[in-house]
Amino acid sequence: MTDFSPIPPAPATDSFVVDFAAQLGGSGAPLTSGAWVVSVAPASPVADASAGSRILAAPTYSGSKTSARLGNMVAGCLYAIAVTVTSSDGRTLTESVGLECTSVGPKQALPSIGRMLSDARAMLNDTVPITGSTRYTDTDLLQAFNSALFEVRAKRPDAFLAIGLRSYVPMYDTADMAEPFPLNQIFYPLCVNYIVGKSELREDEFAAEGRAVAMLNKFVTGLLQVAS
Amino acid sequence: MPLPAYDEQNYLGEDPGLTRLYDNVQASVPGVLEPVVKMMAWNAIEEFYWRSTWRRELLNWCMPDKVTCVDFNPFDGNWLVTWVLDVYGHGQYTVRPPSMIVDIGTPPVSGVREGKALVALKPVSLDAEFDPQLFMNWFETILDGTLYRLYLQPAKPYSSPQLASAHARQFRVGCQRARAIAQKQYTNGTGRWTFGYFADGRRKS
Repeated sequence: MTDFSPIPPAPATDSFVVDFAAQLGGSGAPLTSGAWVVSVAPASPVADASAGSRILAAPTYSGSKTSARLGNMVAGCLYAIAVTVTSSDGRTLTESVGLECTSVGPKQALPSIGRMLSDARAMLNDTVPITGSTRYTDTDLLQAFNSALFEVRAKRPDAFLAIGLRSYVPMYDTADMAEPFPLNQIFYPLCVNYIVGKSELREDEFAAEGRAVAMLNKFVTGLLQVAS
Repeated sequence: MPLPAYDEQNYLGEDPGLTRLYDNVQASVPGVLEPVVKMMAWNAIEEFYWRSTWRRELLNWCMPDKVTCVDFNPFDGNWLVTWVLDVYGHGQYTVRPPSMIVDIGTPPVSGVREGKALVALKPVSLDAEFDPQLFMNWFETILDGTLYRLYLQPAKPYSSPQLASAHARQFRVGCQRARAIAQKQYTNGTGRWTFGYFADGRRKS
């Protein structure tokens, strides 16, 4: 699915064009009719109960292109636009396009598990494979992160109030890279510290220098104190 | 009834009283999490109503023949009876906490019995519609109740027994003031004028 350029929130409106030239190929048959359907994308952090009414004027069809005027959208909402057209030679073609309505104010986004591992790799100096592969596998780093969650559960049970204090601590594997960070964002840098410290424990040089232990202590201090 | 706003542009929720409370706590307590603030705010609100008996209602009750008890709970969808403060009516009644009155007359009185009961209420949950007076007049008290619970927690970045003690004291004082005002039927003045104790031959109670 391709994406349109983002649109500002209401009262902004804009015209959007979908070109079916590639799907029509060399037939040159023009589009004759069709429909645009606007809905909220499953990944959208913001809901819009009136997504279907964001099409402000009836779509038009010209040659291989169809256009529609969209607008009055909700800030931060991700829309999925399904366009179905019929060509003069009787073919029915579909295209799905994403459209983001930009947020008002600072951009708000939850960090993902994958991004956390990237941040940890940056501190581990493990981002550019010298030998053709990274020193620490994703599985290694995720095991460290799962351990961090157990530590947070023990030391800051309030962090799990929203998840449930009488349910199991969530655990992540390599299939969960796109999952959002499960705790409040204030715990994000602490978990990165823990992953780095735990990973470096196996490196004799860092373990002997105390760097690994320092990172783990930084994690605990951050959990329990303001000054860290 | 609109509540006074400190910043109209940044009202974050549908309930400006609670949102103001959350903002005040989260802006001043480092590292505190919103679910914890909500939990402590609810505990403080419940204790406020429980201690102060701020929300009072006078109920009419009726016991049919051969029935010896009446339970006033739930008061309605948003409120529960937390205390029965007084029972008026012919006969002998005892209160079974929190909200039941029992006819203990011997022999049992036959026929229908009627009377009134003064009850104190507490909200069912944070989603309940609070009386507007709560956050208009008792905002600082609820804030103190929330903060003392947060500062009292062990092993948190914001743990502080000293601050907890100070806010707890303010919270208790606020509850006592609210109770005194409720007892004076919500007149926060000097009270009803009374004759001196010598006027009717006995000491004023």
